[in-house]
Parts: sequence; structure tokens; C-alpha cells
Amino acid sequence: MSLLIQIELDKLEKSLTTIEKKLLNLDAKLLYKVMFIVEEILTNLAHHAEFTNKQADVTLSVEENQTIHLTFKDNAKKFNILEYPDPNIEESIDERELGGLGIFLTKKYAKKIEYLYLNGYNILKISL
Amino acid sequence: METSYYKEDGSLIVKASGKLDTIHAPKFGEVLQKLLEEKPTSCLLDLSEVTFLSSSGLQVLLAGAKISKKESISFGVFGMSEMVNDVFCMSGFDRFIKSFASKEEALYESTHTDRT
Repeated sequence: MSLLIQIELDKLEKSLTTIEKKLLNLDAKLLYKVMFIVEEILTNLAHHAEFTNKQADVTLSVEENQTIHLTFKDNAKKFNILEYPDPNIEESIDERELGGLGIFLTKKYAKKIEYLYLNGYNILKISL
Repeated sequence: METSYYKEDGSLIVKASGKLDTIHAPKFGEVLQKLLEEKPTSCLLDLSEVTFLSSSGLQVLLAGAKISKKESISFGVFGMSEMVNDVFCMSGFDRFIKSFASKEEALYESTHTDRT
């Protein structure tokens, strides 16, 4: 199964629900990881990314052996999560900051991540 | 996502049901913050019916733990499912937020710990 889903960043809940509905047959733990990653990437786009005339879409493909491939494409300012620094998870509570955990866990959950910037688009491919 | 709270054995139990995700976690965070402003001696989060915890949910837990530390409120969580616990531990939160399998264990620890 392979689907292209246009994302409405101002209606994030609707987009997340649409994606989750397509994955109902997945193993529960895998579904959790996929939705975690999808939410993280889309939330960052909706709240943090700098861009006008927002365009974002996700291509979702599921292989028979339940390998998932996600491709996120957007026209926001160039941003490569692979270059984003990890938080220090050994820091004390006073030093821990609120952000950065989602990207860190995305990198942990993904089996493979590829990023390229092409013709003004961020293209992020994540496989689990 | 629903929130409820009640007192038991001297602890304020705050329960979240449903998803603590980007859509729902902020509201839970607001409720939790207001409850912590009342400065209970002990606050335990019942996460047994949380089906999904994302980084937004983690932020709420961290904010709650920071406020609690500042106000000398004993703070802990209980009842996390396997994947919620996975996210919690991989983020290193188990280093500074006490977690328990059940309410009974959480309350036992809470009532038997010398907090002076």
C-alpha cells in the first residue's frame, strides 16, 4: 500500500487521524512508533518551521512484512533533523530543557533516515 | 483526553485518559500546573489510561516535575503501558521522575518516605 496524503498544517489533528486510520492493521508497537514520528515531524512543521504558502505532504507506504516508509516533503526553510543536536538525557532535571526530545526519539525509533533538499523542498525519508 | 483528580492517602492523584499528544497534552499541562499551584504535599500522575505519549506529553511531565521540585512537592507517575514507559525511559525521565507500576506501590512509597 502506498498513499500520498496532503497535510493541512492548521488542521493537524485531522491529518494525524487520517494517517492513523490507514495503519490500523499494523502491530501496535510499530503503530505507536510511526504515529510518534509522524506527529513529531508534522508538529515541528506546523509550529516551528519558517515558511509562507505552506505545502506539506506525506507519502506513506507499508510493505507486506510491515516495513513502513514515510516520506515527508515540505517547502519550509531548509531543515535537516539529522543535524539537530541530541539533548543530553543524562542531565539533571534542572538542566533538562523542554525541547529536542521528539527529534531524538524519532532518530531512535527509525531504522533508516535520509534527508535531501531539492528544488526548494525538504525531503525526509524515514523507514521503520 | 479527559482529566480527573482526587485525593487519596495524602496524595493528589491526577489522572489523564486518552492521548497526551500535541493536540491534548497542552490542556492537561494547564490543569496540572493549576493543581500544583495549590502546593499539595504529594502529586501522583495516573497514566494507566494514557494510550499515547509523544514529545508534547513528555514536555508536560517535565514541566510538572520541575514545578514540583521547586515547590518541594513529591512527584511521581504510575501505570504506564509498555510503549509509554519506553518513551519515558528513553528520554531519561526515569532518572528524575519516580515511576511505579501501580497506584498501590506509588502510594506506599509516598506514605512511607521521610520527606523532612
